[in-house]
Amino acid sequence: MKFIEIRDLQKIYNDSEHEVHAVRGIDLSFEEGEFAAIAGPSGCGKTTLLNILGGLDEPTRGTINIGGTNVNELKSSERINFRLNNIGFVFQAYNLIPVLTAKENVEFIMHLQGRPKAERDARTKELLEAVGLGDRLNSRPSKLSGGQQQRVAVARALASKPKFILADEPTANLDSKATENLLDIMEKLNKEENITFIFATHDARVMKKAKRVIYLEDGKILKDEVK
Amino acid sequence: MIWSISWKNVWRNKVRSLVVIVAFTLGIFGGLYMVAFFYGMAESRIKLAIGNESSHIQVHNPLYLENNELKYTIDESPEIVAQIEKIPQVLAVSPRIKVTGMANTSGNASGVMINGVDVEKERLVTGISESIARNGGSFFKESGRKPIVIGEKLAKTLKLTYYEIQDEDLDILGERKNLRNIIPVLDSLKGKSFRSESEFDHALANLLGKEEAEKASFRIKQSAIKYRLKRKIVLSFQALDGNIAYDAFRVVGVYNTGNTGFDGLNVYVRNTDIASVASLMPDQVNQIAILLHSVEEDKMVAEQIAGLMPGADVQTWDEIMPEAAMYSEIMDYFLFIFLTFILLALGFGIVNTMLMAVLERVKELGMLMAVGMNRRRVFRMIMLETVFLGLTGAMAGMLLAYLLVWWTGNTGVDLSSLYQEGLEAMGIATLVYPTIGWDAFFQITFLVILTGILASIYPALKALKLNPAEALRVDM
Repeated sequence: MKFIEIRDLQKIYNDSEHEVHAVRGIDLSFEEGEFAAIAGPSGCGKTTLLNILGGLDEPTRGTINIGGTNVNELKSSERINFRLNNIGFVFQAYNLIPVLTAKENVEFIMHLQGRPKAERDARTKELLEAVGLGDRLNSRPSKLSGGQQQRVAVARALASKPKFILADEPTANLDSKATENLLDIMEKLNKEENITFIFATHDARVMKKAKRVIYLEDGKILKDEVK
Repeated sequence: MIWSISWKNVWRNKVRSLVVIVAFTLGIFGGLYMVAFFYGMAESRIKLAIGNESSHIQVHNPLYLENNELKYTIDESPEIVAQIEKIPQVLAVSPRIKVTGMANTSGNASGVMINGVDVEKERLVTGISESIARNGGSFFKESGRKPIVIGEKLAKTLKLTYYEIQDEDLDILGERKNLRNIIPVLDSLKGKSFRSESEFDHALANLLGKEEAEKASFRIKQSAIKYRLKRKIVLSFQALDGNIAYDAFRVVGVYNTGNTGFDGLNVYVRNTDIASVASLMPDQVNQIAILLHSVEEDKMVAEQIAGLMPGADVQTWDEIMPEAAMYSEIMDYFLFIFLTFILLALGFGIVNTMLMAVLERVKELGMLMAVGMNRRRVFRMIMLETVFLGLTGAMAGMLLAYLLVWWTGNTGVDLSSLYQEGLEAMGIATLVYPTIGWDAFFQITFLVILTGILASIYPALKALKLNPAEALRVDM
């Protein structure tokens, strides 16, 4: 069995009047250590797929198995714990906690996991240094640039030692220099630490860096390209 | 860490939070101070009542309590008094002959409680000797035949008062800023004597105009009132043998305790004078009143005295005047009811604020739930935030209330210019010293936390209903 296995995935949103078929039967799997992008125009279903993969949304039909756990069979409270311990999230709008410093934002996840203070401190410092923010530990998000905030978000996503990281349009709000910088950091983490990254994106720069690009259209896989 | 995030979240929208905090500050401050004020009134009522009326402990023949008759006496009182005086907690003891009777003057008659006292002992037990009115003679300082000390209220009833403004009265009135401008006008009344209050009122109204007279008349009358000392009062009562005994007494003193009910009823004569009229033995009394060093020892000493006098009925002040003791208990309920209403109102304000705080943070809360913050923690975070919001305001309110209670508790709040007449009728001093116990502060802290928890439920439930995937998609 593969690390992540998706079988016959379907998602239908019941909008007031008519049904919206966001995902129409997807079979997909990922190996550990992949650096993959799910690409396609807006409305193709990539965010829905990513949300279901991350346990944020439930499929209408089909199964998702992550490392032996059938995610769609988990109760909602179990899913929250599963997310906390297995998945790292990076969002388009960074979504850091504005009242906390960079260090506290990263540390917070480990606090939720109940890790001891000493471990939290050491790992936070290590991670923020890895994303090149070793000198901005005590800055609040409002004092950081978009690129810097997104790097804090990556450090936060890594803090819980997740099995893989889901990044929904992580570069959409960044300029090209910040994008390049962010992608380099993620690529390095992928190579050196064998961390699995799965992106949803329509950013050509991301697709170019990705080792595998899955093209979606109208809720179906159009093309699955491994470089 | 959730505590610190919640605390930081409180200060996210400073103005909005401050509005709620200030509301709590004022609400708690107002409620607390008001209750402290009423506590002060209740306490002063109790102090006055103990000092002038009940003392700490009273001992009677049990039958006397059922039927206030002269014949129900405590015998061999000098020995008993001497024994009670030896109890270290006892400050002073006053044995009294007590009998209800009538007081008659040429002008009027009134029912009275005649207190036959040992003047020197009585002086130490009650505040009557220190409550002699200005121009009201003295507490048995002048010797003479059969002196009597009566209350100002009774003096008025028996028409032993008149009104006359003298130079000294004008000086006293002149010390009050708000009366200074009418002093020259009052000068024209100087030396004129008015036999009754209504005549004097009439004269004042003519002189000052109705409105002005009404405002100032209380103070002016307080200064102008004079007493017809040395007038005779005839006291009549049922003597030991069942016949009506009577004798004439001469007024040597007029007291004013500030409780008109008490002052209208109680007259003081020497025990030797009344005993001979009533044909009592010299060592027979109806009541022994005991003043202690401290009110806290009342029950303990009462037990000791009961041990000394097996047949007697020993009561402490709260048994003698249950209505006065009840005051402070009622205040406890007041505090609770007041604060419940205040906090209820404030609670709705806090619900509104927290609802805004949750709704504008939909995306952030969605993110927190997405990355693995479970419902219990989200709930706790919002609950703590709500509690902090309320508690910050409440702490400030409590501090303000504490400071003002402390300050006015030392200086006193003077109500005399407003309601002296009414307060005196209720037996409450016109200088109120607000006071409040620490338990009130604990009670409030507890209630505020409870309010915070209750007020957080609705906003927190709103937050928990969020679907993290949808919440993240919201464009803020």
